[in-house]
Amino acid sequence: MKKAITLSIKRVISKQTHLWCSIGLMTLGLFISSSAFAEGLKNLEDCESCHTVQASEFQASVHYINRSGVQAGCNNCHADQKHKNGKKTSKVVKKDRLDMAMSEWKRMSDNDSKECKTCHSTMAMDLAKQEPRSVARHEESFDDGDTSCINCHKGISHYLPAGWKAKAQKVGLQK
Amino acid sequence: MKLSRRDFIKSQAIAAAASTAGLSLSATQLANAKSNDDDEDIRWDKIPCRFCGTGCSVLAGTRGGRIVATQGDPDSDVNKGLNCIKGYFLSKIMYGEDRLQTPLLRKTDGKYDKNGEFEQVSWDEAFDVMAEKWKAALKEKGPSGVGMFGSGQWTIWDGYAASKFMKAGLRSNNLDPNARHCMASAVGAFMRAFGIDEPMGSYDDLEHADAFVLWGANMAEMHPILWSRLVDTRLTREGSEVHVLSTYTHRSFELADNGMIFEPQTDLMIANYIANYIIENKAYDEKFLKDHVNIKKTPTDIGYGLRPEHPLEVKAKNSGKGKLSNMSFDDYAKAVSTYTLEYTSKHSKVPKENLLRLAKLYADPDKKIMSLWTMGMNQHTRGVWMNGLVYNIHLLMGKIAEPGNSPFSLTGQPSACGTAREVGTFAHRLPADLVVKNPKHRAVSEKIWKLPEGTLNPKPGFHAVLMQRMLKDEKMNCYWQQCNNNMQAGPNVNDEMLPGWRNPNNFITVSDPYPTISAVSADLILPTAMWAEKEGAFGNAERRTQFWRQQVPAPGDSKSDLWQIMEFSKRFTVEEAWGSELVAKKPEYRGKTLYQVLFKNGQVNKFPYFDNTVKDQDDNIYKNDESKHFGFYAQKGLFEEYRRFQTEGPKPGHDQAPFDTYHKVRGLRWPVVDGKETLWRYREGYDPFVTKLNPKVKKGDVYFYGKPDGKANLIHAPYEPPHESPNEEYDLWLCTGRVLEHWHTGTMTNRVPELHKAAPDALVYMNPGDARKRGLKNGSKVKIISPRGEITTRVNVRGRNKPPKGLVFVPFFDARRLVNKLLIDATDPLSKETDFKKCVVKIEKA
Repeated sequence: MKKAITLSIKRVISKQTHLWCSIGLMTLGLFISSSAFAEGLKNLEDCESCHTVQASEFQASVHYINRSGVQAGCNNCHADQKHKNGKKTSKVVKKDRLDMAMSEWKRMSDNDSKECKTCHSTMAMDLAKQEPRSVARHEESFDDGDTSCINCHKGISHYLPAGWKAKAQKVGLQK
Repeated sequence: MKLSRRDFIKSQAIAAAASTAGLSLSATQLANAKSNDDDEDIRWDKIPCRFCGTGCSVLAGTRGGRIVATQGDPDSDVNKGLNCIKGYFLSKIMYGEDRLQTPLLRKTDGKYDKNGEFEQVSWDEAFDVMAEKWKAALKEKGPSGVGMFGSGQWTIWDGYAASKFMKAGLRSNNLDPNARHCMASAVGAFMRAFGIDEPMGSYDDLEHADAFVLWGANMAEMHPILWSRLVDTRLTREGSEVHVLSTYTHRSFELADNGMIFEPQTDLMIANYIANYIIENKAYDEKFLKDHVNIKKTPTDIGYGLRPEHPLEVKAKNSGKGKLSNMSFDDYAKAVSTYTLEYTSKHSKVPKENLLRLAKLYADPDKKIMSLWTMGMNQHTRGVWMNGLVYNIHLLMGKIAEPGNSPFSLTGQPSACGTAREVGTFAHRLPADLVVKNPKHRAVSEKIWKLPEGTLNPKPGFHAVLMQRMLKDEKMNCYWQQCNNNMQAGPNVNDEMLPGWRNPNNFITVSDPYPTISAVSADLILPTAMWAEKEGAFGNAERRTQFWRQQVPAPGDSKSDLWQIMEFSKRFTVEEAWGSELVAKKPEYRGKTLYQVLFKNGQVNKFPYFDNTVKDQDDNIYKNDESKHFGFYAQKGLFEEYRRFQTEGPKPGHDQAPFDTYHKVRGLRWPVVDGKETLWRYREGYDPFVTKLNPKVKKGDVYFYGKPDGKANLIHAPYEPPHESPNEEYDLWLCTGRVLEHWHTGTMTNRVPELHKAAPDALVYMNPGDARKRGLKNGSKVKIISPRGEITTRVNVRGRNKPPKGLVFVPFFDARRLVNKLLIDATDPLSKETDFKKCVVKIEKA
């Protein structure tokens, strides 16, 4: 079968064209599979193109805009897990946002809120600057050995989807 | 002075204009810019601040029987119109919600019961029960069965009346002030070196000195107004320097040109090193030493003032001994030669260049130096030695008793000088630096007090720490505490204080305006008048005596300390107090009460009192509730009788002005001779007593007339280790002290909402490395545990105090965190003053 096709193509286009097409195809293939093309799925502008709602919510949050001007990027928390090699998984967002939230919460819970802790150190928390309620909750939690931020601090960068609490509590992702 | 607020502002503007024109007008005199708004009607009068030993003057504004405002007194030489934050809130300290208004006695079923609840009683019933208890104790144990713990915040006549009542009345020397906890070491050193108490310089040295050395004093927070004057000199005088030594970094370090953090107790080494440097570099003033200084040594290995059975006391070879003996200059030079730069730097952990810089400063004959210290040096198991070592440096260099050259022992309380020290309300003292041990001194006192010969007890009584031990051991059964909060301020609360207080065989009376920790631990609480509710007098750190008039009445049934003492003295007859043998020596006293013999003796009741007796320069009339009650001008009579000790006693140089003078002026620094105050003592030209007592003295020369040969004592003392040091289990030093916003145990300042809010909790200031090592964050809840007890508080690693690794600091103003529970009652064995700056603790997460 192969022999027959090659023979027929050979007959239709010249050797040179064949060479250039091969090179072109390879380049195209590389280009597609390279992150340069996926460009995107890293910066806010890129994530925004599909996850528009979450992106606009994020831009109102303290992780984007605050007194000292320090910012987190999408990748600081979401580490492009779902978008392997920066690739889109589909043309539009198909998953229900509560499902997306749940899966992120589970991922963060499983790694003990590792991404939060790249910036937020529990040892560096100045309890003297926190509200008394916060101090009480933090002390209780840390004393119990639970320092996974996501267990309590959800909805910090994106709004909480409707029905989140019941669903999260059901699977033990919310205290 | 009658001066409305509007008038005052107007008069200030006039004063400003006048001074621009080169005139000088008194702010209150200018009131006569009469406005149409006379209905404001605030009466302004001068009054010393209620708080620290600086002795700022304040103008208090009274309207409708209430102090409604205060401001810094612009006419005061001390503070020149400024106050610190505590001073600015003076108008609020008397109006806390829980102000006590009636006596309260623990009762069950209508009778006194040690374990009963507090019930309101009349003064009569209060004194009935108290007198019954005191008489029983006197009968069973004699005069040592009762005791009184007074205060460096007493007015001069409170203290004088207490001294008469206890020593002359009950023949008991168990009278000690809380000044024992703060200035006793300083006093001990003054007496050993100079023979007379109190600094020879004055605050004027702050403007004359080239350089300042703070030895363990945090003036920025504790003497803020004096600090402001020091800062002014430092910032405006060319070549001025500030050196600060402490065991932790605090606010005063912000101005330090040479800041030194030293290992606790090694201040003894540092001072000896400086003396060594001066001698090795031959910088000392040889003539001054020859003419004016004796060199002495003092016994070593003297223990720590603990109970005699304590292993440290048993081990000490010379427990409590302090008798001086002669030392040659060469022997002295040899003794200090141990303290080389290397040795001292190694043990104190202060870098060599810092120590060297300090030594060079002292050794420079052209630099005028003011050394300043308070509790870091006094609340020290070798506090007397340490005070002496700083005097040694000044004596070696001849830098003393002249403008700018001033070893200045700062006083903590407003009248530790004026009352406790000058009036002698200590277990071993009498007024004007006299002592109970000396028969000549007792004779003079008995003469002035018109007592039968032999009334006064020659044996010193129980000092502060010993009083508490004696209560615990039931050797003393009645205790009266006035004007202090020892249950919070004293050391080793749980082991050595509380048991004695709660022992049913002891009867405890506490006089206070508020329900303090002491009050609620007592059996009888007497509601006490405060500050501007009585006519009073204080003496500050620079020997300035300042008077004030009564501004407002005391609330409810509360009465002043003076009233209480005088009234209580009515409950004892001389037969009960002295015994028939002594009364037989003065038969005219038969059947009389102590009140009649001590206070109606023709001297104290000498001056009549009418409703319009107390007036200011603008003819405003002031009340005087004690005098009205007793029918004579009690304060004046007491003060004028007290003054006789200064002229008739064997210790010259304490003269004060007549009573009436002090009400007119912003205080005067004693000795006051022919109406003139003395700024620098012991030097011809400044101190009239120098030529009086040594007519041959050369012009401008010194004469230390407190000593029989006119020479001061340079007293060598070595380093000796502290009573306890961090070990494996208790691995941190604990240092205690104050903060700017609160005065002592906060009984007044915590009731001012603004001051309470500014510093509501006593935190533990800790090194961040030490915190991290223990898994602690800033703000973490922790337990601080010592061998004596524990408290709970929160960590502060970024606050005003930044300790080095191995030390923590906790202030003692917080009644919810009795940090003094953690301390052991170790004292300087010579001064009997507790070491509040060193003990061992461990810290763990709570």
